[in-house]
Amino acid sequence: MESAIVLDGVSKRYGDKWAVRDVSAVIEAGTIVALLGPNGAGKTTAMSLMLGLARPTRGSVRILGGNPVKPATRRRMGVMLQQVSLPAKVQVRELIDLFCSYYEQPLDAKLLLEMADLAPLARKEAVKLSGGQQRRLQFALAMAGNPQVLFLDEPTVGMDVSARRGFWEHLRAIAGHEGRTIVLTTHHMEEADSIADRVLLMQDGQIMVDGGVEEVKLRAGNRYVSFLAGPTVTTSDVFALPAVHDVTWSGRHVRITTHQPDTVLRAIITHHLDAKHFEISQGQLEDAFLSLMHRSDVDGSDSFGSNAFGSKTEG
Amino acid sequence: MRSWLQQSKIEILRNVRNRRFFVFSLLLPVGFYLLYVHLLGAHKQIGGTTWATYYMMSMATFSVVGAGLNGLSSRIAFERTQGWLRLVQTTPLSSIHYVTTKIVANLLMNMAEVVVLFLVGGAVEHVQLTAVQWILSGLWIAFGGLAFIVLGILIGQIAGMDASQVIASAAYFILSITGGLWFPLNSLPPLMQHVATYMPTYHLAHVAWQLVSGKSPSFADFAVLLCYFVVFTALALWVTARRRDVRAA
Repeated sequence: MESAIVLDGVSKRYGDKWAVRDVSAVIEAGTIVALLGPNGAGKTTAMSLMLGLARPTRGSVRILGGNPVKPATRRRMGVMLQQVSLPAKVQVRELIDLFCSYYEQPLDAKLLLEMADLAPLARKEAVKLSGGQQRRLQFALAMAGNPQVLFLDEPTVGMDVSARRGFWEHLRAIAGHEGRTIVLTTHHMEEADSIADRVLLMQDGQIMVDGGVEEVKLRAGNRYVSFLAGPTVTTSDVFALPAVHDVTWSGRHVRITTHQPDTVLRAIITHHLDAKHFEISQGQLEDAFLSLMHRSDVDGSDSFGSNAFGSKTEG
Repeated sequence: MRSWLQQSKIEILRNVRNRRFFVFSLLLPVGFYLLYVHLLGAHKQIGGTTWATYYMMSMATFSVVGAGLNGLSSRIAFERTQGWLRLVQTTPLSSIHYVTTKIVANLLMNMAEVVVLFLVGGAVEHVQLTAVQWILSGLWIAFGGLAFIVLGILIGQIAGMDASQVIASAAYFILSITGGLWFPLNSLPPLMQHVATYMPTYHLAHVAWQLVSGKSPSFADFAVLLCYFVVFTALALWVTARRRDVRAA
C-alpha cells in the first residue's frame, strides 16, 4: 500500500527551542490518524511541517511521495486550519467557487454546499455565518479539491454538541472514499476515540505513543469490571477468575482491573459468582493518555491534569 | 487561468462591495472636484488649460492614489495576520497569482475611477479634450497608479491591521497634498513647490497635466515615478522574503 505521509527524522527548531524533535512516522493511505497531546507538545508545529507551511530544520516530510511545499503535492491535499478569519464581503458560494478553481479536479460546488449543510446560506456573506457554520464552510473549502490527504486542525472548535456529532458522522461517511487519509487534531478525546484508527500522542516535541486506538487503551491497562458482590463472595473467589490483575473492595463493591474485561465478565457468569449491577469499561482514550503520560512524566508535575487537553491553542 | 480569473473576480467584488472604497476613491475626489471647480471657476486658465480640465486630472490621480493605498494595505494586513494567507498557502495557488490578481483587480478599479471622474468632468463641467488626450491621460493615470498599488502592498506587509489603515490614510493625504493634487502648485509657497518635485503623486499628475495642455511630458516624470515603483517593489519583496525567513528560523 502507498504511504500517504512519511516523516523521517523530522526536527524543527524555533530560536533555541526544539518544537519537534526527531519525529519519524509512516502513515498508510486510508488511515484516520489523531494527533494528540497537551498544549505546547508540538502538534501545531508537526501539522505545519506536514502542510509545508514550515520547513524542517532536519529530516524530511513526504506527502503522497512529494514535498508538501510543491503545488503538485498540494493539489492532492485539503486543509482546515485553526484561527482563520474569512475575508469580508465575500459570499459562501463565491469562496467555494474560488477554492474549487485552485484544483484540477474539484468536487462540485453544490455537493460541497450540501456536504457542509450550507446550501440555503450560499449567498450569505461568509463572515456573517455563525462560528459553527464558518467551521463547516472551512471544511467544504478543505474538501474542494477532493483531496487524498485531509488535514483537520481542531475541526470542531466553535461547534455545539449536536453539530460536532453531525460533523464526525459526515467525516466518517466521506473518509472511506478512495482511500482518503485523514490527519486530525482535537482536544475532545472521545472524538478521537470514536473516529481514529490510529493515535499519535505527542509530548515535548516527540511522539510518546503511536498505535491503534485499542492497542493504546490496552497498553494503558485501565480496563475494568466492577459489580456488587453477594455475602458469600471472597477475594480468593475473585482471584480465581481468569485475567484478573488486581481487585479493590469498597464495601461490597468489587472492582477488577484487567486487560480483558470480556473474559472476566464471561467467567463471572460461568462460575455462578453471586454478583449483580455489572459495570464494564473497555477503557477511555483520555484515561489511557493521562496514565501513559504520567508514566513518562517522572516528576509527576500536575501539567497533565484535566486541563491538559482543555485549551484549543498551543505555542 | 481559471483560478486566476476567479481570484480576480473575487478581488474586484471585494472592492466594489467595500464602503471605504466608495468614500475614499469616488465620493471624496468627485466632491472635491465639484467644490473647487465652482469655487475657483471652471474657465480660469492654469498651466495652459482650464481649471476644470486641470483639476479633473488632479482628482483622477487623487482617486487612483487612494484606491491603491487604501484598498490593498488593510486587506493584505488582514489576510496576513488573521490566518487566511496561511490557509491559502496550503492550496496549489501560487504566491505570484495571489499578488498579481490583487494588482490587476486594483488596476481595473483605477480605470473605473478615472472613467467616473472623466464623466463628471465632461458631463458636468463640460471639459473638452481630443479623443487621444482623453484616452492617453486616462490610461496613464490608471496604470501609473501601479506605484501606489505596490506601496499599498508594502504597507500591508509591514503594518498590522489597524496600523496599516492609519498609515495608508496618512500617506494618502500627505502625498496628495504635497504632490499638488489638492491645490495647484503655483498657489503654494516655493518650498512646497520644491518638495512636490520629489513626490510620486506630482509626477503621476504632471504627465496628465502636460498631456491635456498640449505639452509633452518630461523625462523626469517617468524617471522619478519609475524609481519609486522600483523602490516600493524591492522593499515589498524584501519584507516578504525576510518574513518567510523569520517563520522558518
